[in-house]
Amino acid sequence: MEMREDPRENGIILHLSGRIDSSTAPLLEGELNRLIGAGNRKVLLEFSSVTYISSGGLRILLITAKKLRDPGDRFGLCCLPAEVYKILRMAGFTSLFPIYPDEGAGLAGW
Amino acid sequence: MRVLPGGKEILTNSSWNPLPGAEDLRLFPFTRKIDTVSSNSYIIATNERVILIDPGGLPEQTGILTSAIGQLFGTRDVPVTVLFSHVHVDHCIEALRNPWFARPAVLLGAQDAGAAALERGDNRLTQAKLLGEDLAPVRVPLRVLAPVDRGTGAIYRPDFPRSPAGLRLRYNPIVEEGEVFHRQFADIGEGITGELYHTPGHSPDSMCLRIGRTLFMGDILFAASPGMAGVVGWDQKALLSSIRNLLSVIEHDHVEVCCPGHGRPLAASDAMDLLRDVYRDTLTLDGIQEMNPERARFIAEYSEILTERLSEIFTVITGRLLYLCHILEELEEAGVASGLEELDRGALVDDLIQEFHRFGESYRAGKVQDVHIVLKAAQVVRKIEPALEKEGISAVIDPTMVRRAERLISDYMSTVRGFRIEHGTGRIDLSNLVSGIVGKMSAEASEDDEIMDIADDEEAFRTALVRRLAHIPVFDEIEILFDHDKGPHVVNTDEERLSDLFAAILEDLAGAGAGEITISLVKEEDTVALTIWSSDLPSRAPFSKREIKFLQTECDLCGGRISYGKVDGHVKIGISFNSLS
Repeated sequence: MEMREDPRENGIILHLSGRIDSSTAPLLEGELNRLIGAGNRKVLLEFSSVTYISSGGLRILLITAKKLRDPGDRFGLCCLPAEVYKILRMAGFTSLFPIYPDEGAGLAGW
Repeated sequence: MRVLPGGKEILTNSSWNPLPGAEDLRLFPFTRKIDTVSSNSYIIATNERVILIDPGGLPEQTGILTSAIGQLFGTRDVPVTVLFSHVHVDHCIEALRNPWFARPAVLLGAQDAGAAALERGDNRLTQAKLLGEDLAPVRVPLRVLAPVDRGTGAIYRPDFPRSPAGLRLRYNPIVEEGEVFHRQFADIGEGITGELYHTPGHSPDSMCLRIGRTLFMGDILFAASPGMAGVVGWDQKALLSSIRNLLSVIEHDHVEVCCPGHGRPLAASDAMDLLRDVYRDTLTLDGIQEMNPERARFIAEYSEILTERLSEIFTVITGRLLYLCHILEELEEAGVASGLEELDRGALVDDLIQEFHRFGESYRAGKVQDVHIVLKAAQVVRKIEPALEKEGISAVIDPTMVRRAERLISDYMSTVRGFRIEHGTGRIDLSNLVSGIVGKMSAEASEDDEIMDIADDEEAFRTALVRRLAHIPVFDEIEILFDHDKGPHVVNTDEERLSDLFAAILEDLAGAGAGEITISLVKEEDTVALTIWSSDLPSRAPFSKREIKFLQTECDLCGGRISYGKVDGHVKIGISFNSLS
């Protein structure tokens, strides 16, 4: 899995690509912890090139959502491929944090 | 250190040991992790000669074996008799390719049928094709346990004296209750006689060799294993007979150590237990399909979609448990949440799927063969199965999820074992079935009255609350239209399997972002046609080619025929059945 930061005026986008599986989920968790630790309280995960998400990946999303829920915090996902969206929807995660069709829609209200 | 019941160490690997029961001889076992690339090898040495059982399939293995021989004989060109427990390539290919074995001092020997297979370069009986190899014909001068020797009593094979590595052989069958067990005595040297036994079943040429209290048993312990049972040349009846005969040999000839073709040497009592297990398993393998290269290709493709689907179901189950625990914690029900966390085996399953994915990458890169991925998937699936805490999970999460995972596992294992997948059949009215599923998908978790009625009972309330919270309204924002003619729509199908297939198609459409799904059911002459589509799907097709193939297989098992394609600009999935009305 590859990750690329993309700081914007009203939040930071983390572009993800590849598989979020048992070997890469800890890397994602580390990166999110680092970003949040550095004071980023508005984080948008961009999923267009993610091909797979494991239960370990879902866990990281949930943990991150819990960390970013103070007033003014924002956490969301955008550009989900069908197979990833299906997993989130079937697991009930689509009600836990906002999911946007694209980056613009995500950052618009932040 | 592994020891025999008497306290003696079984054997030290990759070292010279006294041969149990014939201590004047020395035995060098080379055992390795179990795989289909290369077998174990065993070297038996007298002062004058060497017998090498199964050289295996790796050049580095030959290197170890030749230096072990060098340890005893230095630079002396000692005669080497190579005996193949059977001629599957993982046991013999080094002897066919490595120039060390082409020297005059080396004599290749096999049971008659195996020798013939090597001499005609038979890629099927040797499993060469299945394991991605291509054999050139090779001469195998020493044919043992040949039918031509039967009835020749004490007459030695005429070709033996030509090579110092030849074996003096004498046919001496064991006849018990009218059953003939083909046996040949072989003079090993130094006054010691070995016994060769013909033990077909795993392959027609399988044989075992006993010297003293040591039995070299080839692959009989693996003959009923998924993926191995049913290989070309496999024979259930012969295998059962061979197991019975070997059990008798181990018992009556006081065998102490059994050296299998793969895995570590065993105490005789352990080997007997395993043989009895193999016997029981073999009895269940009536009428299995042949595991040939074509079938391995089919199952290899199936294994990839299977693991993809299993991964998806387990991720959803774990995701729902995570979601539920999160909500319960928010409601300050941490105790209930931690009870549910115990059901979560997501990390274990993630690791197994990851392991399979890495293996799949090697497969797609052409580094491993179809049969390897088939066996890897079987290994992974068998480890995943116990992770499915059926009762606990079904109590809180949609039980059809567990049912679907269970069925995937069982279908795959049946396929790998060579069985046809079991499926039920019955007269079903499709309009009732579809209405029922659509109604269930659109239903609320539970009625408000229901939960209010039990509010006084703390335990019952908590259980009902968990169930209510666990209900994931996957279709709540999707309009599902069900349109049907007056029918009747009675067909022959497997109701449970079709319900799950239908639900899976709807979930796939929902996952692809459908806002509206239309289902139509029409009776046309002698056909009942069920069609599912969405008019507002994003441009990307919701089903990959591999998924369509999987749906096709499932549909076949439901007695239907699937069609998939764009009609009027919409991706439509059709399932048609022969009408019974």
